[in-house]
Amino acid sequence: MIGIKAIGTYLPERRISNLDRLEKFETDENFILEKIGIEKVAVKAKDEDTSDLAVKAFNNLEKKTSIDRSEIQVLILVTQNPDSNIPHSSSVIHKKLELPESCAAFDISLGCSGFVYGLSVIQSFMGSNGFTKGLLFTCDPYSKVISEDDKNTSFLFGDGATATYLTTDPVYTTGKFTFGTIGKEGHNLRCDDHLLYMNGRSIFNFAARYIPVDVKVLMEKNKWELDNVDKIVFHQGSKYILDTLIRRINLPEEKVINDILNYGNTVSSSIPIILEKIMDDENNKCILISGFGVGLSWSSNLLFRNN
Amino acid sequence: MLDYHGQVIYYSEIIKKRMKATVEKLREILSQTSAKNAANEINETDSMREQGIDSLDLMDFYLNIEETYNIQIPDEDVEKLKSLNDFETYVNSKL
Repeated sequence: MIGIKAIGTYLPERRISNLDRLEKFETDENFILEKIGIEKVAVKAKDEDTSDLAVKAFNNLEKKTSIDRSEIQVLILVTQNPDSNIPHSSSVIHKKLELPESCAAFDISLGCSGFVYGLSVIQSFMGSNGFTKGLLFTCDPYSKVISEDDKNTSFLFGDGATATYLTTDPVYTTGKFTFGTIGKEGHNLRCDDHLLYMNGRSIFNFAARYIPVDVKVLMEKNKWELDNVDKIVFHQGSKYILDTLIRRINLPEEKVINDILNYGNTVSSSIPIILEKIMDDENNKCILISGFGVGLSWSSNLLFRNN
Repeated sequence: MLDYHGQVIYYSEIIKKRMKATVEKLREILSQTSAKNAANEINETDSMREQGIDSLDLMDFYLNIEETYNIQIPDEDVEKLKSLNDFETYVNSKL
């Protein structure tokens, strides 16, 4: 069975402190730390592009597990902020990693739900083609499309990248997925003229209304009980969204991971960045992952530790 | 509350709750947000923002009102609603 063997991550060193911008945005420390839950956002260097971040995540992955680059059969990149529109950035990564010509490479255009969608796509692609080794990248550096003067977005989003290695000898396999799209609400999180616009209230309403229902659907689909989930990794939109989901679904707080204080919301990378940190713990036999955002779209899954 | 496809679910509970809005009921709704401690402390005439309810708790408050009374509060109306009294009048005008 195809599943996750290992995950590599990369967060740029540079940070912008939200606490240094309190006066500018007429807010206070309590709001930033207790409500937004993001003290600093990670920002890539000006000369780093999307594919560079992805390659650094892959370098980190190579330190964790043995990978023979010549055996990689597919490379998928989830991004909406590629190096350029043409060629697709997965092709650029393919070049930089010197992967074999027999390796398929393509991008998936999705935001915060992208990692979970990407898992389903790469597993299906590998399965239907008899592949045994694939790479799923996430990298969506929003610093490319954010104005530092926009309070709604500049407090939230950070840059980062991940590289997930999928093999037939996995640490985690996937359960049944859920997916969904509300295209008519998609304009509430969009990019116009290279500038991100977000209607925070609409995105909050979407997450608060739909994700609790989706978690229930996911459990029913997998015939699984929430009590038997060891860790819950929601997309890290903000601390307030996580707290709202905890309250609305009545989840045990200790199971829900919050890990955005020092780097921010890294879009499709937020879930794998956390998975990388918790996947070595053998007590985490079942992990719920749920991504939601741009589209508006969502996707959730249960990851089961492979014995 | 909305179902998986965004359709309104007319739970009997919601129908029962679809009663006249009162300041007391609105305080109860506000107490379901993280501003629960302030819900009974703020007065009903002054701006909730000026009494320390932040923008995120207000977003949650609007959503809870929408779900409780099965109404929609458009963004343009939200800007006009400042105090608990404003909300009481507004919600009752939509019922």
